[in-house]
Amino acid sequence: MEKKIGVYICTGCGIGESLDIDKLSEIATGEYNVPLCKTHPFLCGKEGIQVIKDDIEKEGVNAVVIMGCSPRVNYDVFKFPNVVVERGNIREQVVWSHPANDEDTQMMAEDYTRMTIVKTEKCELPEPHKEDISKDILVIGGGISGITAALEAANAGYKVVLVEKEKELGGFAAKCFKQLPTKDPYQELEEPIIATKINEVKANDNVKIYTGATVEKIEGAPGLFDVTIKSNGSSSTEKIGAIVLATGWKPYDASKLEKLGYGSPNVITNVEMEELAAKGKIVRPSDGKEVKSIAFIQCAGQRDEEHLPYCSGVCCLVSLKQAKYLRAQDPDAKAFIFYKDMRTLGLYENFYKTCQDDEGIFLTKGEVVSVNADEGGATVVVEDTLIGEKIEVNVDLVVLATGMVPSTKDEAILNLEYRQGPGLPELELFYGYADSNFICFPYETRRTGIYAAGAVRQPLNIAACMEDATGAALKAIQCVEMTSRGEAVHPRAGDISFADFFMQRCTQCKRCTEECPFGAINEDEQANPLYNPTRCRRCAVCMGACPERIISFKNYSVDMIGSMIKAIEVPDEYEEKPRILVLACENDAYPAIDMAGINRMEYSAYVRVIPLRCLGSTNIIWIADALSKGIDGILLLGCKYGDDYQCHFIKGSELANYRMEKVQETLDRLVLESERVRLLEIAITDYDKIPGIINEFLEKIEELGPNPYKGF
Amino acid sequence: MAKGYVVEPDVGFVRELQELGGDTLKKCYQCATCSVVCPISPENKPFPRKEMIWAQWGLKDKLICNPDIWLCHNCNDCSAYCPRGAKPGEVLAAARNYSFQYYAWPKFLGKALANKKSLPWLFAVPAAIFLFLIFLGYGKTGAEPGKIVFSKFLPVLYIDAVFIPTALFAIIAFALGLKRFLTDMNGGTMPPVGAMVKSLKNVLPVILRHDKFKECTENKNRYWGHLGILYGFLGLLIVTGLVFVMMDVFHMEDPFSLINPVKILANLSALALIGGLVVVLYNRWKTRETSGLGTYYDWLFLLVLLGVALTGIFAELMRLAGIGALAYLCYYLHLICVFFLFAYAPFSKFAHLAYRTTAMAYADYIGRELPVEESEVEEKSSEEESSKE
Amino acid sequence: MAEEKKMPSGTNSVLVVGGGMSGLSAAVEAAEVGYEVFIVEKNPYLGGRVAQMNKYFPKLCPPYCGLEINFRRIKDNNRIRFFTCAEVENVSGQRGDYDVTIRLNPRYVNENCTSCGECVKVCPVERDNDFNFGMDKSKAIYLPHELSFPMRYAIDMDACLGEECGKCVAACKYDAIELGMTSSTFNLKVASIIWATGWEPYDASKIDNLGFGQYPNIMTNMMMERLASVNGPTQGKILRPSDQKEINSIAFVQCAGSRDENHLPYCSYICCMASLKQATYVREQYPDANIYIFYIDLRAPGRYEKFLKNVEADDKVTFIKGKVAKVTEDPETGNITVEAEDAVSGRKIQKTVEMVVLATGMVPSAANITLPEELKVDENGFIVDGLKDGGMFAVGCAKKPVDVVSCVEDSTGAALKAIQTMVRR
Repeated sequence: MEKKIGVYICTGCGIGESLDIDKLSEIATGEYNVPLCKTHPFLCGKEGIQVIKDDIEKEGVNAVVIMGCSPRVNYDVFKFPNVVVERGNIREQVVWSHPANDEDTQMMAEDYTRMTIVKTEKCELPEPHKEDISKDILVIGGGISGITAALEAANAGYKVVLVEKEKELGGFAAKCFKQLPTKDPYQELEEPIIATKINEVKANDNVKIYTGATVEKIEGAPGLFDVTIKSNGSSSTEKIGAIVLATGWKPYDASKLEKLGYGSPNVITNVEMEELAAKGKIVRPSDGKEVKSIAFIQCAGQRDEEHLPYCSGVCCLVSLKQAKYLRAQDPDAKAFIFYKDMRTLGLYENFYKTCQDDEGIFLTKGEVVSVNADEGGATVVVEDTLIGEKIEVNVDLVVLATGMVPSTKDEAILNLEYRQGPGLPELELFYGYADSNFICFPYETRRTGIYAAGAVRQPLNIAACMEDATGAALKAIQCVEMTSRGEAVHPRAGDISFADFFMQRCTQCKRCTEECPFGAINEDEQANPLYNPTRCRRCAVCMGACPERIISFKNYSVDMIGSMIKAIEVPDEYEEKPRILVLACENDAYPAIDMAGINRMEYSAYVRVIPLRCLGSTNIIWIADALSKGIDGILLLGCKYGDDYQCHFIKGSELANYRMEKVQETLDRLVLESERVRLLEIAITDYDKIPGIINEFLEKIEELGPNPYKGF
Repeated sequence: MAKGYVVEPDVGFVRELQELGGDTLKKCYQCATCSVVCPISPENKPFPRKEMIWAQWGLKDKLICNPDIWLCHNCNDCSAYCPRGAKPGEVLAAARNYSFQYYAWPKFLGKALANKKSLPWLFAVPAAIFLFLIFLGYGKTGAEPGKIVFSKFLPVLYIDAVFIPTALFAIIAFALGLKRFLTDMNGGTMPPVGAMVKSLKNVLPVILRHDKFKECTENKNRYWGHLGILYGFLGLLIVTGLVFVMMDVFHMEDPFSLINPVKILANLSALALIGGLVVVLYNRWKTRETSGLGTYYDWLFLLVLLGVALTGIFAELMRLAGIGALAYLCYYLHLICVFFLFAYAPFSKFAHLAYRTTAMAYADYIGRELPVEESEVEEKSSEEESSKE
Repeated sequence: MAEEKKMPSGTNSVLVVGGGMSGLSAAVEAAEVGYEVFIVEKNPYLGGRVAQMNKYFPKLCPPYCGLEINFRRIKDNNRIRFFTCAEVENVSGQRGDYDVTIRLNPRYVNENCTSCGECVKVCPVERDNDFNFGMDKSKAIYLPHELSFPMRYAIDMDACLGEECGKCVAACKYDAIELGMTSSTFNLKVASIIWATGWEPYDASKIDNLGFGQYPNIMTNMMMERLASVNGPTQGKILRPSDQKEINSIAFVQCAGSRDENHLPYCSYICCMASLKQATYVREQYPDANIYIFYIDLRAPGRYEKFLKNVEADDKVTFIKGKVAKVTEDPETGNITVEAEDAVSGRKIQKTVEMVVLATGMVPSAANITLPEELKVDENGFIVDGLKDGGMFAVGCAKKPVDVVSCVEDSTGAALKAIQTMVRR
């Protein structure tokens, strides 16, 4: 597209008083031959905006450069349809954080003007990639979570395919005798809702149910999934838009709990207890005699490094519930509950109070020392009790409150035909749970269009599973809707750009394929990377990985950033004005730099900041470009990586770090010190550390001396 | 494995405690706010938290044979601050009420005092006895019409004939009950008498000064209330004894003049008793939300005591006013009330006089409130547990 | 943008009342599916309670990070319109077709504000900074916090001297200050309403045996969050309020005014984890400080257990099962002695520390506003959900006390429920 660029420099908020604006205009019109360059003292006001609008309408301006405040503010006023708009930050990151009317501050503003103009020149308006997609939702797992997800999606008007591996729907919820209270005043046990839900889902015309079925394989991408379902020996395929994984949990293997007496007939797990109650009468497994007393041992095989290191969250409530079963069956029976902490959180406290009031329920904190069980019952010895000494109780039955293990711990289940693997990757971080590492975005997984719900995601009780499943159903629906519009989902929600692969120069190294955090790239029969646009989150990690630089986005490319770097004016070494390039992740590092400016914190004016979609999109060529341009140091600021990673694209900053380590070799070849390139993890609230970080790095660079390639 | 204390919850015991005033005992969740807020609970194994869980678990042997429940003076600071409304103060009071019945000899009287249905015959006994005695002495006493002389209405000798055996009975019942009580607290054997006497001497000043009552923060006026009741009662007791001596030994005649020092003491004591009772009753009403109103067992004692004071005062007032019929009636009722108080003393809440004193002495004997040295006992704290996990 | 009176609102729109984490999540999730959403928030900024937090458990990551992304999702989505300094005045109608009257309270600063900050320099008045729970002061005209969204100043009219001063108006180059701004109302027609009114911290001064308000070195957990935050009153350094000294010891009192029928009878879910998190703040700044945590039950459910284990592994952190029921102050040093019974060993424990944090609970804000008749609240003020044929849904802490993760899950689900009301009309 033939670009007619208009440059608009705002002189408000102190900009006009701190900089020589005329010089900036000269750069635009002189160095870059920009046809239109205007200044305004209040560009974001109605009058200022009108100036721009008029130029777009009457002067045919179709690319707008705005030099002024940060792109994070005034996003709504500087929005012009069908026009490329690029913002140059000379407020928060120049005049608010550097001395006014100062040569270095001026040079900074001038460079940013150059860089923004170059960026605009290289930027094209993206066109969304749209194709015919399916909006049907696949729900894997027909327990309470799966059924709820299916119903909620169906009730919003979407067609659902529900796949359940057992012959009957219901999962573990169907084994429940009664359910915990789900509503105010949270005191009474309720009839399990599962039966009603099963009938509802069977009666719903929008839901197609496969029972006795498993997912054999899933190919494709969001909106374009081809799911092969195997049931009763035959296979069928469904065209699916998005997937909800709701395959629930399995009980922890209690045979490992011999120390607590498991193996003896009168020592059972909480799941077995539930089944016993559901059968009708709680009797002693060894001889069928009536049960007059039960000891519940909490945290059995949990909160324990040797078994499950986590807590299953529901067992305290479940044991209280089961104690109530016994008491309802026999008003003379006694239930003892030995706990470490009574975890009846939030409004469930009311249920705890109700159980406390029951004269046949006895509770104490304590450590169970031994369980001696035989056909006649069991003796449980507990120490460190609240009673003040070691105690012993003789009971008819012992119930071990064992934990939940997610179904994804040992099985991939999804059977994705993705080059990166058949399941959701690296779930060890969550002990096998198919969870997200983000508190604010709990449904995000590393496979676009696939969302997890219920006890496969976190240890949850039935009511919480239903809530969770409703959320996952929404995410699935959201995904198909956004995909139909060609938009990316979280975190670059709404982004319609997508990656272009210039396959002629591809060397099939597969770095893009392996490094994509979302497995968006498969491999075709010729071993070429096969990009799936609807799987793509637009992070551009692949763009950073490609050594041949064949990947680009219409509005974000290697050339664009490279050109911006080359547009920086680097003074020669005699001027003693070093130049530091800061590549900042726009999600956390860039806002932190902005906030340093908002707080008027000052740091060296020798830095030039370029925001990146993700630090993982850093291509090594930029390092080379910067160094050969004579830039003295390169600082990469991005989000934390590791177990508690913050990186919104999961692997971005980690990959950038890995690449920077590789870059050491290149540097050695160029006879440059490896300390000139540094990657630091920054949190968005680390704005107070920004000046320190920059100044410290600068000191280091000054120690190393100027880049020997300056002036070449 | 080393054996532990074998737990066999006695649900019947739990129910009884609930009926005796501890109806909220199941609500406790062992936060130990009560132990900290209690101004008089010791550093080591403070009450009443552990008593609450013992009560919940129906561990009668731990709860009843435990001096701690008597160290409590029912100020109810704990109940005011209890986050669950478990009213630990009332639960301990219920445990004490249970103890009275448990140690009561004979047992049926213990049960009767707690049972509303027995009230009629409990009153009927003294009512009948005194009525009988009045008729017996009628005409023989040389009563002059127009002059109200109580000793002519009912000769002192007759009164002695009733009260001395009654007192003896009460003393024997107390002795038997307390012996079992001490033996149980001491784990099966009686503690040495000499040491107990010594402890008693240590403890009496504390009791007489009402030191423990002073520490209460929520219900400060209980100090005054109980002080009035105790000293009022003691005064009246002394006065009765003095009158016994004056009339039976020195053959002095009643009625005594108002300015007679004995009379003055009597009237002041009566006023102190009534004053104290008013304060205590008012307190109960004021704290009925956090501490509850109390049970029949509690109120019976208080009302009988009030009855004693009021009937006595009214008898005197009616005598001074010259209304013979009312004066004698009040006197008759007064005698009934006093009998009730003393005859049933070992079985009613009145028994706390002896039980608490004994328990406090025992606590002193075992050094209950002495600080514990840093010993191996320390290791079993929850502090250690967290680093073990 | 936000103050237009004529709203093109149709019956395919959702109103979200409350712009905290729950409200924001519900709004962006529904909008991204393709529906129009309005957010009404009573503060001058979006973000709610989480904007005041230093870090989230268990990752110890800053709430600003998630807020920044959510704000970006709002920026990039034409379907979301939000109103700050706004409250719902009246609701009528039924599921699928509600008529809502919104009252816009005056911010006294209009959309011309560029947040250049010239006004603050000349403002002569200081007021207690409510964002920092009164631990420091701000001017009468102020920017709520660094990540304020919208990035616009506001005036606390209770402190402002008004037109007779007018210094800020003179200093503002953009005519952004209107001291005479009045409130106005407008109407919206929406298909369903999501109530995300969140919570307020419980007033700790009501807990008379725990010394808050009496002794300066006793603070609440939310105050500690502010103290430890980089944009807090001490730029993130945890210092004793009485003398701004560094600390060597600190005690956390769990269930302060919670699980307590004299105060809040329910458990507020997050306070155990919050105290563990704050213990890590202290440890980061003071590698040798003694930290004591007094609890009734340590509630670190599910995978949060790992976080608990990490804190337990710190041998200078001591856990005591026993609630603190008495605090006394040494007036000379300002040190506080807390007393509890260790219920496992049966010994009373007194610890003298330099600072105490009361882990107080949350009170639903819905308890203090008039809600439409269709909504029912329980005795604690939580909105009772589950209206079978209703078009109104409560989410997050307006419904029950939960952590941020659960709020977002809940809100995401509520967005779907709101969509269902529009689809199944």
